[in-house]
Amino acid sequence: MALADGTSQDFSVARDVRGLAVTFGLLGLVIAGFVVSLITGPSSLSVGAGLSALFVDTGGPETVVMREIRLPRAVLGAFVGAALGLSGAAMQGLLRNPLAEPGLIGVSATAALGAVIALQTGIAAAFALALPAFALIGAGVAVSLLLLLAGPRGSSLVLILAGIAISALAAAGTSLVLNLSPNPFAVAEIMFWLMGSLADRSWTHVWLAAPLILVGGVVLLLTGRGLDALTLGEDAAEALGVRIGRLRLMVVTGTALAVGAATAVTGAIGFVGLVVPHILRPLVGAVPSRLLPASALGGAAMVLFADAAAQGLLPDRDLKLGVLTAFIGAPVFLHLIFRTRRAGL
Amino acid sequence: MSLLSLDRLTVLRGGCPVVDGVSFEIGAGEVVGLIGPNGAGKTTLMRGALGLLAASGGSTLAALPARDRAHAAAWLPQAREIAWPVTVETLVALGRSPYLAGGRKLSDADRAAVARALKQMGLADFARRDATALSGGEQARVLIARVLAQETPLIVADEPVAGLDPAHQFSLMRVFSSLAACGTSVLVSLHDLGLAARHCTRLVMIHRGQLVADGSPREVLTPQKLRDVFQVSGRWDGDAFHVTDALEDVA
Repeated sequence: MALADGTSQDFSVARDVRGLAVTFGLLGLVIAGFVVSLITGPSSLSVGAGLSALFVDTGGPETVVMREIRLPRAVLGAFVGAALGLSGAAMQGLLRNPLAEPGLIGVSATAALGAVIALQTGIAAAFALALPAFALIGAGVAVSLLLLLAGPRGSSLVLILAGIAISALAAAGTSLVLNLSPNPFAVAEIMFWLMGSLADRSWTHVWLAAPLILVGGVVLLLTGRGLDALTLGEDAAEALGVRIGRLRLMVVTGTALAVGAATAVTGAIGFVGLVVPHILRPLVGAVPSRLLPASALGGAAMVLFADAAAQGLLPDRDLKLGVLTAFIGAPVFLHLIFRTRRAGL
Repeated sequence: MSLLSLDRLTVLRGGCPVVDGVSFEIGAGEVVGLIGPNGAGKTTLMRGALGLLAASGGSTLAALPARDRAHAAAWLPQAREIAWPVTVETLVALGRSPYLAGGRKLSDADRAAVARALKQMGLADFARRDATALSGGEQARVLIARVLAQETPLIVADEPVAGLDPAHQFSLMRVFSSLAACGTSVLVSLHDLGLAARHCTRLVMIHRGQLVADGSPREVLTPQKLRDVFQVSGRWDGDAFHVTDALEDVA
């Protein structure tokens, strides 16, 4: 008995050390990504001049570039990446399915539809904040519709089906707008916006999205213990004192706030919410509550590096971030499939 | 001391009573075997009693708030679900979650409870293994250990011996008996009438949602009830009970 207790203590200490190592490693990656994002851009600024212009106002264009263009872009990238990674981990935990992703509940698709309507009607051109505002309204409509369809006691299956229906409807709406658009330039603008990008985002975008992402993120982080219990299935979790209906509501509204706000300011950035929790799961012992903060950090790092790569690879062509994350995400996902097959599952 | 009291518990499904006015009480230190043929309503009765299903009539457990109920009774569902490849130790420690106030970590007492549960199920050497990589029977024992780690006065287990080899079936029933000797009670649904007769202090027999017998194994497993409810014949051989034959083609 004494031996069993002793070893169990040692294990828990070893796990704490490993958990700290993972957290600090990811934090280091986010900081590195942030710095790389700051020193990347179309203006020919040297690394030293750029970073010093960030802290000391030179009165010249360097400080404007650093403080008004690159810094908000990096901050927004970190917020959006964290929102996507965290929501993905929460959604996978709730549905107990490693293929779940934040877009599953239809929030991204309806936010995109809202943005597309703002672009098509010209409201976005007349009033700068109309586009993200319309996208947020779209996300709000999606989550209301979802909760109405799935109900407070609806099962996870009903939730998925309702999400798929809402996504399909929103995608059809977006296609309809593109289909009927008389103006090819508007179509191109819409298509490019849908690809997802951090280019030309300002502090206004940060102030709009960050508070909503923060609130959504806190709600999602609070679901950790409930998601842990869900490892045993809904019935056992409920008998352990978890209120499943409330847990589901928290995951859905947290995801809607975080991903709705992220999509509203950057467009649809795919694969981050799917791939990041997948990669990090083995590093946190597959425990859902530990995967949540890890995926927030991992998502931020992935988006920051991907955005820097998008600017660095084709500096003159405005490569869209969403295109790059898909190019990174799909092969990573294929690699995971092959690894699973090798494990004989 | 009553750990669970059911008063005319009724669960309807599509207007039909799946559990129909069942009343009984469980006191301290009992191993109560819940027996009945397939579809008799055993699982529904247990879930209704725990408040996991909407039910009419009274159940003292269903009346409790969620957290208090998790302190009063532990539930082992029949579906053995382990969604993520967590370690055995982590999975068993989930049984301690009703005792952790928001955000708190496992205390030494919690860890000791986990170690005890692992030892009781013979899983001490498995603590660091990936639970999803174990065999079906081993996974079943891990999930039982989770229920034991909850250390509640009452354990409600739905067919816990299904999938276990004979030695582990016996050893699980002995674990239940030793818990009962210390005052913990167990409500356990079983299909093996011999195992039920040998290890349960009391049997509750249900048929088509209704309670048909409640008493000691000898009082419940009578030739007439066996014929009417299970369509089998059986024989008592000292303290052991054997099912001898199927009376008609139930298929």
